[in-house]
This record gives sequence, structure tokens and C-alpha cells, in this order.
Amino acid sequence: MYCPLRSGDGTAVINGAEVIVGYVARTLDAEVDSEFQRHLGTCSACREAVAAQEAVWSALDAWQPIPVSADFDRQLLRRVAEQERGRWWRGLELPRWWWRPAMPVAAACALLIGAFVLQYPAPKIAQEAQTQPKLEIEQVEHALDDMDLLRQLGVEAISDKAGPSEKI
Amino acid sequence: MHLRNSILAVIATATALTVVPPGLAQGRRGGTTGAPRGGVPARPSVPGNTREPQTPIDEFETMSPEERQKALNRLPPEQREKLQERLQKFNELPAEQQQALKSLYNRLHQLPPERQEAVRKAVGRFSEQSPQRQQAMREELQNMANLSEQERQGRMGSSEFRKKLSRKEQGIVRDMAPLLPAQ
Amino acid sequence: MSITGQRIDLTGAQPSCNGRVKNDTGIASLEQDAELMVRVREGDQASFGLLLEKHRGPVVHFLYRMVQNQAAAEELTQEVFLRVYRSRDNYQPTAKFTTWLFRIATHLGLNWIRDGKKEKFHNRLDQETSDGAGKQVPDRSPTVEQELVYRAKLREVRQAIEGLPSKQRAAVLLHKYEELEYAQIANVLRCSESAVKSLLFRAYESLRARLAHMA
Repeated sequence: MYCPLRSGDGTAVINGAEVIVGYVARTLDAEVDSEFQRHLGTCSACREAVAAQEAVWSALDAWQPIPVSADFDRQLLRRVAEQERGRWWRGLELPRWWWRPAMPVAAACALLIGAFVLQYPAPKIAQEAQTQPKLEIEQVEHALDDMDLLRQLGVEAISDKAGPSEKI
Repeated sequence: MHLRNSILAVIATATALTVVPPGLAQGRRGGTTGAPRGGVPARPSVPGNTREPQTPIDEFETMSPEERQKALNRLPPEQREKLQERLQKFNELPAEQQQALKSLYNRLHQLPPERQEAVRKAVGRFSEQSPQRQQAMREELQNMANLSEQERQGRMGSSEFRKKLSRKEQGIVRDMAPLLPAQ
Repeated sequence: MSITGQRIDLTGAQPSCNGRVKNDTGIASLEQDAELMVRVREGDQASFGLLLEKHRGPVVHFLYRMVQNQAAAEELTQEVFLRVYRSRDNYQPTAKFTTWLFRIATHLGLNWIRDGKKEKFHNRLDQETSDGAGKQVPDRSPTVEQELVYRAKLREVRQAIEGLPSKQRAAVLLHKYEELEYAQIANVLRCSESAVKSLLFRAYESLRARLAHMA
């Protein structure tokens, strides 16, 4: 590999910087990465450039993310709700007095519903259907598929217990 | 008289609706076989184990022999035989390993379906790596098993994490992180 | 918390999705973001909650490093997600969701810098603010000396980043912390890939001049 920093024209320098940055960021293709590693053994200029870029990279790593405020979501969702309320109200454009005739109708409905409920209690819905969903054999097959998949991880590695991991 | 009864009925209904817990109220209208949110039907726990919900394999094993056979008979013969072999192999695993796999399974199935899919694909990518790289990723997961969620995020953003794993491996570990136990 | 009276369950499940996986490096989750956004467009608010949960942190962190003020970063992030939600009816998954998200974030961040709104938040770099800097020391129970060294280092890094022209700053932050590829950064900054490379490598050159002594 010829030295990527050897400046003949602007292109070579840009390509060189791309290789140095990519090498430190570990985004180079495996082949280019290996070739450049071998080149570093013979080129002090590139070694210096890599060392300088690694210093920058590691310094930037020190700038760790800050925790987000605990009420961030609450505030955001409140703002979204306000935004949406604006949309809905603009669409409706009802006259102010629209609710007046509806009140006695609503009261009458409530009375009728209440009387109906007490005189004709709702039939008991079968409880059994809710508590134990019926097992389909395909669910067992899918569960086994997932178990086989998860076995590839080496199960002990992410159990609740701390300790050295071992592949089972 | 009827009017008074009707008014009392309205008051009683309104009182009941405000006092009754939402879950119970919902139960009256509850679905029968439809899957609730999460796509995972709520399953009763394994008897004697109040922590882990049952997996479909547990449920199958606790059915009566007649019910098991009835369920198996729905499959074509070849598929039925293969399933029985797989079940036997699973049941022959050490109890501790079975339990650990079931815990992982339950954690996986607590995730929304698209996250489950992402985890499955990540495990697939994991298994394609060399044994050495698998071990490196496994160690990272092990290191994070007892950390809080925030500490895990911090770990996955740390320079040590990035130095230890390539970008591809970092992506695999991040996608598998939802399998870690809740702390 | 609710949007328009409906409860948002940030851990709510969705119908199964058919994420397309083209290669690794977490691509499955990127495609799924676009699918989640399509569901938001179709009225599924829980999907918005999932997107918020996933991207809230990275966007806040990006904007914090851009504008170097936590309160402003959070306010700008809220604006980002408000715009995402507002645009849901017209959303088309033509680009990766994160590219679109960071394009909005970068646009707002650059505007904030350009409009010189620092004074509103009374932030000074040499002030020890409550931005959690003291909590970021990775070692457990740091000594006072370690803490001081760490803070000095952090201050230099922040000053070095702040010293970059705003577009170079955005390019570095997207490349280093968000790990976007050159093509994605080009999409975010609305310029060519070669322009991105030029921005980035000039930025890294400046940073090397200022920070190489930290090796």
C-alpha cells in the first residue's frame, strides 16, 4: 500500500485523511484495514497521524452523554396535545350554544340505561375464556424455534447471576 | 315509584363506574381469545414458581396426555415426529439451562413484536461471527447483566466498549441488549 | 401522559412488522423506525412513543454538544419531535428515519447558533453548570484531583468543538457520536458527500491541533 498521506494532489491528501479517520473510527473494510495496519509498520508519518487522530477520538469519548430530564416526555406530550387540540378545534367550528339541547337528552339516556342495567343485569361473560388462552401447537413449535435461537447466545452469559460466562 | 327507582339506578350506576377498579370493569367486556397488547397472551405462572410465566412448552407439558396427543394430531405425521424429537431434546437439557432459556424466552416475548424481530436477527448475526468474536460480545453482555438501564446505556456509549468491539459487533450487542434482565 | 386524551404506553406492543434486513450494524432497527413512523402516520400513537423512547437520548445528546446548553438542547429536542409528529400525515419513508430526524435537529441547532440565542440561557463555557459534567467521570468515587483533571479535559474538548465553524461542528458530531455514514451526513447537511469529507477532515485537523497533546 502506498502511503495514503503522500501528497501529490488534493485527492491524495483527502484520501489519506479518509483512511486515517476511518482506521481510527474502525469503519474501514477489513481488507483495507489490514493493509493499512501493515503499512503503519513502515511509515512514521502515518503512525504520527494515527496517534494524533486517536488522541482526538479518545478526548471526544470523554464527553459522555448527559441524562435527559425526568419530565421531558411529560412536557413534550403536553405540547403535542396542545398542538393537536388546536387542530381539532379549528376543524369543528361548532356554535357556542350547541350543547344546550343535548343536556336533557343525555340525562334521559342515563336514566334509561341505569334502569335497564338494574332490571336486566348483564349476562356473565364466560371467565374461562379470558384466563387461559387456548394453546395452539404452532405456538409450541415457535417457542422451540426461539429456544434454539437463544441457545446460540450461550445462555449463562446473560442470566441474572453475575460471574464468568461459559458457552453451554 | 318507577321514576325514583330510575333515578336511584342512575346514581348507583355512576357510583359503580367510579368505584370499580378499571381492570375489573374491563373484564366485563374482555376479549375471549384475542391477543392483548404485546401479542403475548398472559399466561399463569408455573406452579410452585411465582416468578416466571409459563412458556408454551411448559403449558404443553402440563396438559393431560390426551390433550397433548390431540394437539399433536393436528400436525402432519412428519412434522409431529420432528416436534416430539425437539421437545425431547429440550427436556433432556439440564434443568438450570432449561430455566435460563425460559427466562430469556419470557424476556424476549415481553418486547413489542418488532423489537423481538430485531433481537432475533441480532442473534442470527451473532451466530455468524467467529467463536472468538462471539465470546467478546458475550462478555460485554455478561458485564452489563447486573447494571441498571442507564448504566448499560453509559457502557454502550463508552470508549472501552467501542474499542473492544467493531461497529458491527456494537450493533449486534445493542440489538440484543433488551434480553438483559431488568434491574 | 396522553395525547388528545389517549394513553401513551411507551412500552406498548404493535402488530408484527416486516423489517427488511439488508446487512448488519443494527440496520434492522433503522428500517423498523421507518415502519414505526408509517404507523404513526396511520394514527398509531404508541409507535410515536416507541420512536421517542429510542431517539430522545441521542437527539438531546447531539443538540447538547451542538449548542452546549442542556436546557436549550432539551427545548430544541422537543421541537424536533413536535415537528416529526406534526409532519406525520405527509411522511414518506424515502430516507432512513434517523437521517430525517437529524436533519431536523441539525437545522434547529444551526439556527439556534446563528441566531446567537446563548444569552437567553445565560450559559458560559467556563461556568460549572448543572449539566452533569461532574457525574460523567467513569471511575467510581473519583478523587478530587481526578475530578479536576477530568473537568479541565472536558472544558478543552467543549471549547475545541465550540471553536469549529457550525457546519464542521455538526459534521463531526454526526460522524463521531451518531456514527452516521458520509452519505447520511451529506443528506442531513444537504450537501455532497465530497463536501462532507472536506468539512470533516478540516474539522478533525483543527481538533488535532487543539487536542493532540491529550494523547
